[in-house]
Amino acid sequence: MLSQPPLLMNISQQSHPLPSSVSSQQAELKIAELAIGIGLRSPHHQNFMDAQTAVDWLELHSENFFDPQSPQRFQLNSIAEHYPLSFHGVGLSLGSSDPLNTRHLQALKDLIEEYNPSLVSEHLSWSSNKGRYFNDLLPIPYTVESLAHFSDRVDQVQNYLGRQILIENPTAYLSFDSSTIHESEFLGKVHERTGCGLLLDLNNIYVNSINLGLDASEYLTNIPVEAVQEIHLAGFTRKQLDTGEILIDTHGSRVSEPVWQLFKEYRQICRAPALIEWDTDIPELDVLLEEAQRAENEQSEVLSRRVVA
Amino acid sequence: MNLSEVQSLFCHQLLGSNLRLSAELKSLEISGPFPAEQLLQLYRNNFYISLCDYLEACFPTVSALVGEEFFRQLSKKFIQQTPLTEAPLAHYGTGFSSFISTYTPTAELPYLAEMATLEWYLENAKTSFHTELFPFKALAELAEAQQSDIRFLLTPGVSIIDAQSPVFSIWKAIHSDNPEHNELEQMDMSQKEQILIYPTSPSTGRPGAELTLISNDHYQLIRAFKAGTALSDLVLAADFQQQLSHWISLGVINNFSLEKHS
Repeated sequence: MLSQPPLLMNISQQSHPLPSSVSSQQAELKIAELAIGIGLRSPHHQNFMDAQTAVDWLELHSENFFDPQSPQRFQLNSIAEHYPLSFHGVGLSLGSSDPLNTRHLQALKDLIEEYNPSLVSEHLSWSSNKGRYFNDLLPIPYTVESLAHFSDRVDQVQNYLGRQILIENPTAYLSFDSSTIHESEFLGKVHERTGCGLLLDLNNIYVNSINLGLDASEYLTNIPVEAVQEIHLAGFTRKQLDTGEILIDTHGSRVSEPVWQLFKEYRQICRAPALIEWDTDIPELDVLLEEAQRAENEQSEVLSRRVVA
Repeated sequence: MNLSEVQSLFCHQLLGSNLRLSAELKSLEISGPFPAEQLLQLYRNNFYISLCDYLEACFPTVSALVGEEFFRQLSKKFIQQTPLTEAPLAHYGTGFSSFISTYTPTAELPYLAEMATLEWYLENAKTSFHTELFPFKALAELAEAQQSDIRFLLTPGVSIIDAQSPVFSIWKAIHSDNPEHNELEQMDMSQKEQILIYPTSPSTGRPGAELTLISNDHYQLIRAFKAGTALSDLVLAADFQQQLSHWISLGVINNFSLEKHS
């Protein structure tokens, strides 16, 4: 017969309790009109685990938080107690001709149900083919077939999640000759058909305007402003090729002056919350907060001019 | 060409990079500021570079051992042969060690594959967050007749390695604050090492991971825990009680079961 292991009495039984479920607190934290947020990236998680850092709201990449036993989820439990959240997906591959990845969708649904974020968004793009993923947001031809397919997928996702999602306009370095619909019109029609909201990335519009010769002002005019529920502000990188220069959407630098200009123009008609997005070469948090402060200043100037007028 | 055909061709272009694909590229009918091949190369670069960066972040010591340029070539071959099958990258390094052990230029360097194993286990330990403490009360409440069936469970993220090369010593040398350049050159590469890797979250409440050398006795004991050996067989091991206490306090063991492992 074995005796009870006596050594157990010598072991510390101190506990490290996890924060309690945060869905109820998060339900009361909403992202307001004109609120300025920043993209939450892992080097800065610790800065937001209490309410010490002043920012209106935070956006995170959903896929980085799928694992419920990850350090990120532990940190998110605290972060979600203090800040309104937006979940921004990069891997649902909505434009792919593959069937929707139900495992991915279920993981997203579980995450949403636990935290109840204010906004959930994805991209007008695809990233997988025949089950192989490419870790990128790839362009789709804007055709009648793609519009029907993409709208059907957005419908499926919204029905599965039981809530509206926002669709973001992508960056593209090429266009398909088979496209028959302007991207802005395509987004408007997806909104019309599915009731989804739109996330307008002003940097993507600017980068595409330079690389592909689109007219940024015309693009913004074509977008149904009532559908826009979020704005992204980010930076790009100039890449020199043998044949000329191209702008790469790296999200790895400060917001450029032309994009600030677009923001000021669009702020005159749109009060959707805006976000400073920075994904590569992530700087000190202070740099992101400075960019957020500039967004506040720019919109204050726009709004005060409107009051005077 | 329908959407499915366009995407299929596009993917083929992303994975390939030679002129044989030029006819296929033409049929994609793409336009932009540069010739089609250059436009595709932008996407190709983004695809490979983003995954190479991810692998380099998971395997910094392998990269340091072979140099950045060779690591990029190695990663590119791995990426070509190992499709990413889900959007999250969290599991993508799983097969990197076995790839290194079979890829011709690295197959003759067994320490390299073992280092990749060590770093992947370390990554798993870092990303496994557990704060549940060992259920002492439940253990104390077991009837005496049940005790022989107790199986101690390793905390998720705990791994052991029976390395045929001194990968722990190499790892320490490379990550030392004051690296001595001749330390690696003087190392006996046939020296075997047994290593324990574990998450520190159970003992500290914060994310993190540790690795440590262990004796063969301890390696065999942890291996027995991992295999689900019942307490009735475990108590025969040398200094079992002290070892059990030690591994529980470190968070290496965080639960027990009365069932055989499935």
